[in-house]
Amino acid sequence: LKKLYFKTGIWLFAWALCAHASLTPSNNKPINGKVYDAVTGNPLAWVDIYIAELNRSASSAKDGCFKFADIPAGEFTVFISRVGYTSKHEHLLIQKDSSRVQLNIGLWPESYETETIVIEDHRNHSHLQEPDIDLSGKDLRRNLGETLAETIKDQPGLDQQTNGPAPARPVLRGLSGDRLLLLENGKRTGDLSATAADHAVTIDPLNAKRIEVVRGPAALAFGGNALSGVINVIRQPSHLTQLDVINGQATLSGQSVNSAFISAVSVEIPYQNFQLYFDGGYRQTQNLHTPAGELKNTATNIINGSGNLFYRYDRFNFSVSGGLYHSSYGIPPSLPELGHINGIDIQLNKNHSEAKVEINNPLSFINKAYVLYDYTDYYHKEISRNNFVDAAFAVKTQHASFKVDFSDLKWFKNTEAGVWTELRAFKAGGRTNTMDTDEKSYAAYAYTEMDFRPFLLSASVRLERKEVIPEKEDFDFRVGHIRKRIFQDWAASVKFEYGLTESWRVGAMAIKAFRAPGIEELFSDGPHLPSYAYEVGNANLEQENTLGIDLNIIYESNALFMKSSVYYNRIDGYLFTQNTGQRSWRRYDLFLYKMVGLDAVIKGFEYEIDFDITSALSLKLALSYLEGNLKENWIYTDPERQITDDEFTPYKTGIDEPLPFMPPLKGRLGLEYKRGKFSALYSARFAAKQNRPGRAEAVTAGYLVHDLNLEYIISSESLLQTIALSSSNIFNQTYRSHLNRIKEIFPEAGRNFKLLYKFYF
Amino acid sequence: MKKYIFMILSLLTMLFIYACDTDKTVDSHEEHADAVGMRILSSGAVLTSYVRTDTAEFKAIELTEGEESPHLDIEFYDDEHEEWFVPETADHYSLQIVIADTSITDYEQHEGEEGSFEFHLHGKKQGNTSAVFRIMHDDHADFESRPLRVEVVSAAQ
Repeated sequence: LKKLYFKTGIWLFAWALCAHASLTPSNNKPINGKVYDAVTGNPLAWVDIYIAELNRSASSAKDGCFKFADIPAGEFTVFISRVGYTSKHEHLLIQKDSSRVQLNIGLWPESYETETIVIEDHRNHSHLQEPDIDLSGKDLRRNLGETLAETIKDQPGLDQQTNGPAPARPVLRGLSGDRLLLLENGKRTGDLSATAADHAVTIDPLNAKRIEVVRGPAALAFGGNALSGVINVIRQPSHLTQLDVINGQATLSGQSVNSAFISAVSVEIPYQNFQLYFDGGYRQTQNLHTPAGELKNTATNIINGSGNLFYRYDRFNFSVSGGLYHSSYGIPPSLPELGHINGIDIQLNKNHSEAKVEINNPLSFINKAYVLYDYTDYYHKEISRNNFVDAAFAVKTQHASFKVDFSDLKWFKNTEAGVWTELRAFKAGGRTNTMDTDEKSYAAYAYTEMDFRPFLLSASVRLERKEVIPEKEDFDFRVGHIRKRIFQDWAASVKFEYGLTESWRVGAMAIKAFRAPGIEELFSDGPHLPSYAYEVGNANLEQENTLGIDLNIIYESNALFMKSSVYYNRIDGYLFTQNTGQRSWRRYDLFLYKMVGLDAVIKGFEYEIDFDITSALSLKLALSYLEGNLKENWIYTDPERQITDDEFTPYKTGIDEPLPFMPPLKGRLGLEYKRGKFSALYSARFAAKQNRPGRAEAVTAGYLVHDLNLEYIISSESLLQTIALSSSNIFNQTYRSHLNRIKEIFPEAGRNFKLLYKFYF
Repeated sequence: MKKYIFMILSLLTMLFIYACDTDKTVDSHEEHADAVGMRILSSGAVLTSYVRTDTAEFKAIELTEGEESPHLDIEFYDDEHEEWFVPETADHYSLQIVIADTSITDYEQHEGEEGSFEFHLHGKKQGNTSAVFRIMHDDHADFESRPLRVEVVSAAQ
């Protein structure tokens, strides 16, 4: 009944907002226009027209026409761009008494086509909110992998933690789990991928239009625990673009290393003030092949889809969405003496629905306000031999938020504030003894930017409270006193950038973040075969507190981009599952892993360079290095029992003891050749030996592997096609990733040939 | 007209959200055998045993080539109640023995006693191997023991 009240309350609130705003009549005007070739006079399709101040865009149809509805009076800058033509911008004045605005724009052809750009939604952020990593278009196609983590793993500072090919989670600057939030269309995924290495991320990159990595103040809008940042996968349109014609894209792909067949489609259909979007994807793979042989039980089957109906009415935007993600995948068998020699099968289902109401200019000082409600129903089961359900987890997540974008005020720009609440109902079954638990989170946050050019500053603050409520109070000598836990604190971040010259700029970012322990970290207790572990939580865990700083220097000119960053994160009570190095008393075949919170420091640097040697040839280099060290650790005399402060305290090691699962020095050197519609990229991926393994970890050797990607683009007035042929690990070398949980059993994938065909219509 | 469309859409949205609120059942937690040690007995005498990390009495079992061991019983140590127990077969518990090299030794349970916590070992040929004892609860192991060394010696020795 509570849930019913909650949902109904959200809707009543949304209706009240609509009713308030609808009392004020709208003076908005439509803009119609046409784009043509300035030399031939022919109409131009595929032109991107963007109104910067309103953050809205449209694309021209075959006849070169485009239109915007509901444009308020004011002065605007309109940017016009198309592949093969020189981009331009126009100033536009719309007066209150204008009945209709007509724009006719001529574009001059460029002497040659440099790169085909697929028209996509504009990003809704300012310069200071610019993502640290932004993967779209050709870069996204080139890197498109089986999982989100595989797709972005070669970006600076990023890596992936794997447990077989299917369950892979991104690692940014050595941090993963809850410290690196994964979002789809700006919303949390509602899955359990942050809690264990065998739990898959429920985002398929197949239909992603763009993947962004954001750190610092802008990231705190999504969680006080986003110390490492957020990775946002943009899949559905943001509806900044007003369409006149049906458009979409389709993908067909196959690869040799796991006999994969992959297909996807997404379509946007405009009808008057409506826009309907839907997409779907199917991925089927067989066992992965490595130079050491076939990696058994690694076949994958994923079907996913989503839909969105958008309706624009006067100053209101209404949107309803739904989506599903169904997957079955395998965890490879363990070594004979450990856990499961036949592997584990995992079946995962996630359904998601969402409703959003957005109001433009509800009050004079508010640009936009929106209220959002979404619901995610997640379930997965882990099946061992003879179809026995070893473990099952169900999580129902409800989330509601209200956000306001304020009008610019003197130096303050892009100011936004919001409130956010989330209810999670967690249930666990099978052999795991984790108690059924509810989790309630509440947060309020604010973000702003200040523009004192050449000095730019952004800042954010977030207050958050989390209640973890087990179904009953209990005492377990392994886990401790199971009871309701409350965590609350504030997080803040500030970022500045200073332009030294036109080409050089320096920046700094500082963050104070905190992370409350999750349900599984507090209360888990039992064998977890896919993780090859007997996991024991700690009901006494305290929250993790972090202070981080990041300094960077950037050089940017027409031919050269360079960025160097150094960072330092001090984490008090770093929460992680520690391999005690001892066997479980109950399951001697499994090692005992305990949840601990220990002081740690993670520091490192990143270097990135993109140099155009000639107009056709460019050099790319990305390099990352970090060190993660524990400043204290436990001596496990009796690891099965929960250690309390009265009995024992961590000892100060005095020396830096390496954290587990920290990536070594790694990088990628690439040479790209572009000519017209053809491009080729050769890359050498490399990593140094990781000779600083964590406790109970093995040293991992370094590697150097070679990849090649060729792409050709075929464009016509109404269709854009891309054909890419790529090969990774060309020389079929045996190499291992330090972040692979089963690296001792099997190396990384062997030589792979992949064909990717995409067309945009 | 647009208002009506909006209202219908909103209602459909709400219906969609509630329709998705299906309950996926997760089995409630069962009772599990909570063992942290085991011992093997012959006619009431303890042949070998260990509890947690205390392996002082965890001795190898010696068999004679071509002979069957006496009737052996196995018991487990309850961590919570600090006592030895034999799981109830009526509660779906059973014994599973995994022998690394069954050409050296193998086990046998008499007809009608399959899965019970009583067994015999056979010395098949001279050599050393190991045996792991599991408390199976339906189809999963609640407990898996340390590997027990089994030595088969020749009859002449």
